[in-house]
Parts: sequence; C-alpha cells; structure tokens
Amino acid sequence: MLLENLSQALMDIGHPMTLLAIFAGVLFGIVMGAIPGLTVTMAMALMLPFSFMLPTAPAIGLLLGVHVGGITGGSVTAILLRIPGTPSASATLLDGHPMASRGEGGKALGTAVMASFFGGMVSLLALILIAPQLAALALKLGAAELFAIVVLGLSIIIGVSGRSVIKGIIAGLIGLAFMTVGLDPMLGVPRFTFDQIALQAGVSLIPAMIGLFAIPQILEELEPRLRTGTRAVARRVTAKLPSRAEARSLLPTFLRGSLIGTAIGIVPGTGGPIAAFLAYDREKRASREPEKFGTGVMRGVAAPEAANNGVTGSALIPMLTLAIPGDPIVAVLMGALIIHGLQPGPLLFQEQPVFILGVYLSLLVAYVFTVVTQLRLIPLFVQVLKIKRPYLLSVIAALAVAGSYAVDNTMLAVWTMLFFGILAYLMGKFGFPVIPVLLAIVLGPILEAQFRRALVISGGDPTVFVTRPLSLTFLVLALLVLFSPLIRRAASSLAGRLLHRGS
Amino acid sequence: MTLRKYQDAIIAVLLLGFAGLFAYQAGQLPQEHVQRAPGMAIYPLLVAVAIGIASFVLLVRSLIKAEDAGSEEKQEPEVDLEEGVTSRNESEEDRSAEAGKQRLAPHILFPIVGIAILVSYGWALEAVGYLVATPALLALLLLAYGVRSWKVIVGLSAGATAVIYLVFYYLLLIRLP
Repeated sequence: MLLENLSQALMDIGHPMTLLAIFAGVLFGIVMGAIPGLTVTMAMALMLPFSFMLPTAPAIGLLLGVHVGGITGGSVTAILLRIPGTPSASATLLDGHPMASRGEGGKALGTAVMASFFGGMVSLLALILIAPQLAALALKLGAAELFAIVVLGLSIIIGVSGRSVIKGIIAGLIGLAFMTVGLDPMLGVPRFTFDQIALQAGVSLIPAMIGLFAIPQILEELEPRLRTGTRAVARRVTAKLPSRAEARSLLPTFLRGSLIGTAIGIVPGTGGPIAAFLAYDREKRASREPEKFGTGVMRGVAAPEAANNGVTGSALIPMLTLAIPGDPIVAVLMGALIIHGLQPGPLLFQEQPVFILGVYLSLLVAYVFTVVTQLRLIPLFVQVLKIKRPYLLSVIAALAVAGSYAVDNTMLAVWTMLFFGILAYLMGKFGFPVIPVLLAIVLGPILEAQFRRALVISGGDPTVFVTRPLSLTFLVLALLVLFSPLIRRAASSLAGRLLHRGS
Repeated sequence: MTLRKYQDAIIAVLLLGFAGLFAYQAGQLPQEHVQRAPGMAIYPLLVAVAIGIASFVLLVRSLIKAEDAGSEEKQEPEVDLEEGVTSRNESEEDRSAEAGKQRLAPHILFPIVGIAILVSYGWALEAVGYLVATPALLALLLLAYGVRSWKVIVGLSAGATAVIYLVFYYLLLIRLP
C-alpha cells in the first residue's frame, strides 16, 4: 500500500511539468525573497492563479518551491547589501554582511546555502515523522475541539501580529464576517448576497489574498519619503561552498540551528525570524569566543540560516494535521490546498496519502533546486536587485489584476482583489494588523462548519464547547494568549531583547 | 491634531455601525433550527456581536487615551514581529527614509491618487479592455512613482502588458478582457 502510494507520488512529482513548476516556484521565490520589501507571502499570492490552473501535484510543487526559494533568497540581500530580503534573514546579516565586506561574500552565501539545505532536510524529516502521528491523534477530536483549536490558532496569530490586541481581534472578526457571504455551508441557502447571483460563491480566496499582500506595497511606495544615497552596488559574486573541513566544523551548528528552527516552526505564530534570532543567540552563547560574533564568522551565518529553513517543513505540521496555519505564508498555502479541494486536517492523511507523500517529495526536490540555483545563478539575482522598485511594483500591479481575473474570468474577482487590497492598505495606515484578516478568511469557513456541526451533534446545547475538557482547555488557552498581559509581554520582550542584541 | 487624536474613536464608531448593520442583516435570515441546532443566522450574529463588543472596547479605550493625550505618548517597547524585524535592521539609508516617511506622514494625497488609479483601472478594464487599460495603468503608476524617463514609461508599459497578456493567453489559455 505504502509502496503503491509512493510510486504514484514519485510519478506525480517526477513528471516534467511538476519539476518545471517546482523550479519556476523556486526561481520566483528566490527573486522575490531577495528583493527587500517584496515578501514571500506576496510571491506566493501572486503565484496562486497559476497554481489554480495546474493539476494538484505541480500546483502544490510550485507553491512549495516559492516557499523554500523565498526563505533562502532573503539571505542573498542580507549578506550582500545588509538589508534582509525577508524578515527571516534579519539575523543572517549580522555576520553575513561583515563577511561580505571583507570580500568573503561568496563564502557567506555558500555557507547560507549549505545551512539552508541542512535546515530544510531536518525540518522535512520532522514533518514526515511527526505529522502522521499528530493526525492520528487529531482524528479522535470532535467538532467542538476542532472549533476550539481553530479559535486558539486565530488567537495566537492575533496575539503576535500587532501592538494592539483589540485591533487585531477586530481585524480577525472583520475577516470572519466577510467569509459569511455566500451560500450557507450547511443548508446551501444564500446569505448576505443582496440577491446578487455572483456573490453566492462567497468571497473568492485567491483574489482576496493577492489583494491583501500586493496592493498595500504598491500604494505605500507612493508615499513621499526622503531618498538619500543609492543602494550599495553589488560586485560580481558567486557562492562558494565551505570546504570539507569547514563544513565538518560547522556540522554541530547546522544541527543545533535546524533543530531550533524545526521546534519553533511547529508552534503557530512564531516563524522564521524568531527561529533565526534564537538560533543565533544560542550559537553565540555556546561559542567559546562569543565576542567574534558580529564580526563575520561562518557560524553566525550558518545558525540563523539553518534555523529559518528549519521552519519550512515543520510549519506545515499544524497546518496539514489540524488546519492551523502558523504564519502568513503557510496560510496562503492552506488557501491553495482548499481551492484544490484538499481540506487540511486529520482526515487528509487518511484520504490523500499520495498527496501527502507528494508534499514530502516536492519539498525535497525544491531544496535540491534551491541549492543548485543559489550556487549557479547568484550573479543573476544580484542583477535583479538593481531593478528599481517602482518598475517592479507597477508590473506587480498589472500582474495582480490579471491573475485575479484569471481565477474565474470575472471582473468580480478583480473588484474583490482591489477591495481587499485597499482595505489592507487603510488598515495598515490606522494601525490594524492585516495578517489576522488573512487567517480569518482562510479559517472562517472551517470555524463556522465546526461550530455548527458541534451544535448539531449536541442537539443545540451551546455548553458543549465548555463542558468537553479538551475544548475548554483550548478556549482558555486562546483567552490567555489574547488577554494575559504576562504572556504577551514575556513573548514580546523576548523578541525585543533578541532584536536589540541583534541590531 | 484633534482629528488624529480621535482617529481610533471615529473608526470604532464606524465599526459599531457596521456591526449593527451586520447583526440586523443576520437577524433577517430564516431562523428555523436544523436538527434542533440553531440555523444559519447564529454564527453571523455571534460575529456581529463580537465586532460590536470589540469596537466598543476600542472606542472607550481611545477616548480615555485622547483625554490624557496631554501627557507624552508612551510607546511600549513591544515589537511588531513582521515589521519590527525588518525595520530595525534596515541599513542607514532605509532608516533615514523611515524618518522621512514619518515627517511627511500627513501627505495622504499620494496614496489616494494610487487608489484612484487602481479603481479607475478596474473600471477601464470593463470599458475598453485589457490591452488598452493596462499600458495606461502602468504609465500612470510609473508617473506617480516619480519616474520621468519616457523611454522607461513607454517601454515598460507596452512590454509588461504584452508579456502578461501572452503568458496568460498561451500558458493559462485565458483571454484577458
């Protein structure tokens, strides 16, 4: 049975179209990840329309490629220009850039590539080992518990995504409210459609996600700001892998970084930046000569890069097994799965074993492509970095509109995209975090379905959510995450301390 | 600025209005129960009530804050995970750009122009089609970004439009409007 599935998955992933899709994803991810201000989330959202047109295996391969490529791409800019291309690469610049200014940029990039691969592989291993067990465990959960878990997942994201919890809560609730438009999930009766047939399908996920992550950047670039100086001109660099002896001495660092990243990745609401700083901090403390950190040591590059890639696989664990995306990138990925008719959750592992194996294989292939691409094409990426932001952003605007339209050939999708985009921009202006909206639109329908199912099963007894011990535990945890200033302050001061030490 | 001081309060009132409208609409939905469980109105109603409560809290808190706005605004040293990480580590040039952004913050005109460009593009797509509207969008956006080289504007507008159109046509078999 397993062999049969495995050979099927191998055929799916080994198909030229899938390989091409993964490669395209990796390339696009690295480029977008390397360009400061353009996020991996945005890259993934822009690729959604293309994934929508593809069969499942290449579609998910494309997006996983963007994820892996994006996370590793951020290190290029961090090392060469001292600007992290992605938040995850923030810790990498601490030692990466000093190395580059000494003329060892190639070696720093090579170390980053090797560390990324190591981190990715450890994380993949964790995914393969842990996810099925967790899914089997999660199968025993009832609707009330699943509802409570989704609430907890939302709360964690709200808790960490902004300065004001109340504004985060409002943002999440607004997202939930939008998702009630359309056919009622249980009865199939239209709700809030104002007699418009077009609205019966509800809010279309792809355009909404493109809008949330592409439009604000396009508009923000219009705000006047002082431009002083020009970006440092990058010299010709090629990545050089560490020598065998160096690699051997870096091995413990790779391992520690990868394990920290993998462990952090499983916890929703954490993600690459935290993992990278924690690993850097841990490495510095473990070192016999901590004063050298920050002056350009290879371990200072290896630790955060192993850690931020350690997140890539393990962040999929809660998403695939419990339908809880831990960060925005994984949330967009989850949206893509849902669009392809794959409902994340414990049942996925029983019903779609070939797909799950395909995810493992795609990640593996994506990492191999990433390493090859990073080693061979870095001079090309450096050229891309020289393209001016206005050029890129105006093309992204056109692409966002075309991509939204392509989803179902309607102008409604374009308007949905623009609506969510402008909403996200305004929210940002007034201090409301946008990430909770993303989570809410992905999780909203699941939240309502589990809520209603739980009520049906309990015969309309609303106490079901608090009388079942597990459900009660999750809900209490959710409240703690949101309203316990102690926990919040501890978490944010930890992050703050690490950042201060880092900068 | 007084308006800025009451910014949150104004938003909270608008949100309360939204919550009320949403709750009213939800109340209009058929109320019959499904297998003894509350029907399709219950979940939207709960969301509406929650928005109402949260907005009310925001309103009260922002009014209290506006009251003692005389004292210096105290910034908690909390870190916005997504943004904080980047902004803290940006290079010198970006940091000064950041400072410039704050000083010029009231200039809301430019983004409004941007929103207007995007919305009119959506409208133009329906009216005159992709191949006419898109070069116009690109040219306008580039102009708004301060690009003044005609070579770039014309080349990029025409080139990007053509490339996107062809990619969607041949790769995805979609004819843009």
